[in-house]
Amino acid sequence: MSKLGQAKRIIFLKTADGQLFEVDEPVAMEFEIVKSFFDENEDAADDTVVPLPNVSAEPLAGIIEFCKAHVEFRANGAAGKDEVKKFNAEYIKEKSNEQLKELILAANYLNIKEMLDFLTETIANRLKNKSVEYVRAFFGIENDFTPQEEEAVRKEYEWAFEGVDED
Amino acid sequence: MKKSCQEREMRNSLGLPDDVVVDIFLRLSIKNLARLRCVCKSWNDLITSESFVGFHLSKSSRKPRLLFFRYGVSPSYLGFYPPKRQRFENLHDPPFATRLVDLDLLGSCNGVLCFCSTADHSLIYMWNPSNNKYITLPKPTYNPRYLGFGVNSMSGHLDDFKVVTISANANAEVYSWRTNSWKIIDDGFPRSIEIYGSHINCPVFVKGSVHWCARYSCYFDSQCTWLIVSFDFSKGVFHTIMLPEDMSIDDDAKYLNILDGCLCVFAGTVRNSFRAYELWVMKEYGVIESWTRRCIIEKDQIFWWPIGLTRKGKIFVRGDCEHCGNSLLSYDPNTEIFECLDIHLPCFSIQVLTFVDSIITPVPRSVIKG
Repeated sequence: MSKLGQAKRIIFLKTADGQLFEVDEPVAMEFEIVKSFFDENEDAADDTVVPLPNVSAEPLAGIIEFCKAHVEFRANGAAGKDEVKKFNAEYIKEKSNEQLKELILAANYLNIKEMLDFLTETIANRLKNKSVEYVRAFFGIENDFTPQEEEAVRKEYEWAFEGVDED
Repeated sequence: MKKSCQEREMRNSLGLPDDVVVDIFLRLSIKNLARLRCVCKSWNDLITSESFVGFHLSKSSRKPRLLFFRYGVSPSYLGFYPPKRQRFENLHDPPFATRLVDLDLLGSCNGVLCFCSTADHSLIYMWNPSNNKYITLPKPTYNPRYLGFGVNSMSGHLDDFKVVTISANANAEVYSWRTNSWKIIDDGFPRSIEIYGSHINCPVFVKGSVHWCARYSCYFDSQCTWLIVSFDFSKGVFHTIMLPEDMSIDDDAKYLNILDGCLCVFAGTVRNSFRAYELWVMKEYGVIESWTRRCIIEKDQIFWWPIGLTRKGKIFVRGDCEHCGNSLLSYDPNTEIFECLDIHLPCFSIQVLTFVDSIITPVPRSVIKG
């Protein structure tokens, strides 16, 4: 662990596809899995490489970008303010569902609560007030009901199909 | 039994672990969830699984709402507090054939409300207003005079709803939602005890038992001892609980309620010549010595009588506000301050219950076809 007055410590992370990332310590410590790695190996050398066998480079880069910004927001006392919301909205805007899924899987494995909360909320918002057909198409989900089965479930909850957004 | 979440890991079509999908689904309203059941079988299985229903209930239990029931007069209504524009946020009417005005509300438990017909108590309904599902109970063997509603919390099932009835002849029987049938309690109701039933004294379900205010029968003597009688839904037996001594021998009405998960009772007491209400809390359930006086509220022009408790321990009372007579006020026992809530209360009675949203479907498995 770095102490006050020491040079900024860098944590080395290695992804499943063999890429090496150099991450500032406060950002890497956002990842619960990295934090516990160092908590359990207190004597680990400064240049220890933490292997992340379940994460590939692309989502990790995205996660680092997100966590870095949020660490800064907290340091500046901006947590919960509009600029955070603006950053989050921009961050997620161009992400496809597939990218979002990769990010969730990685954030879940790395155990980053704040980011996982944000990502699951994003998915939930993409499901809100959407028609069944839209949800299937948007998430690429196959309808495995027979028409009779689907009709039965729909009939049971007719009121749930009122006021749905246009596809 | 449906499989647990862990067993169905990654089978939810989003390609995400089930605990993440559960987290996503828990952020959605009941209406959205009902619709998403139609997306595919695995989503339908997940949303209707007992474990998901449980997660959903634990989450919504952190945000209970207060349900006000105006009863006994047309139009009766059910409305949530806090109000919108000086009116309670109305809950839609139940879908039963019986009108709300002809019903008594027996209680609210795990998102399900239980009603019985005011006239003879033999028509009993369980209704989940959140998904508008309901069941009409089969008729009990004996005509019920007093009823209680709750859930058998020891069975591990959130939907193990029960109704207990007591007839005029002290016959007692219990309805089980899971078997959709009634069972007569051999020993019946203790004959030496008379339940003191009125709307304001509606039964209170807490700690796995339903509670009524009652008195020991005693002829030619108006000072019959008050007590609480309870029915434990898991053991299927009646128990008695003594009230604080100060309020056990007089003629003043008692109101049972729940405060921070503890049984509590409101009453005027001899000590203050009934010029004030006292609120007593049974801190340790079933332990008489743990009855503790929480506060005394003086009766004066603005305060008439208590009608319920808020989640944070404030007390709803009926009284007079500056601009509006017969209003709803809240009283903070810590600061001893009344606050006018700008809601006019109808002249008739109001019942206040805690309600949590749930996706439990109150239709017994034995009744579901196929």
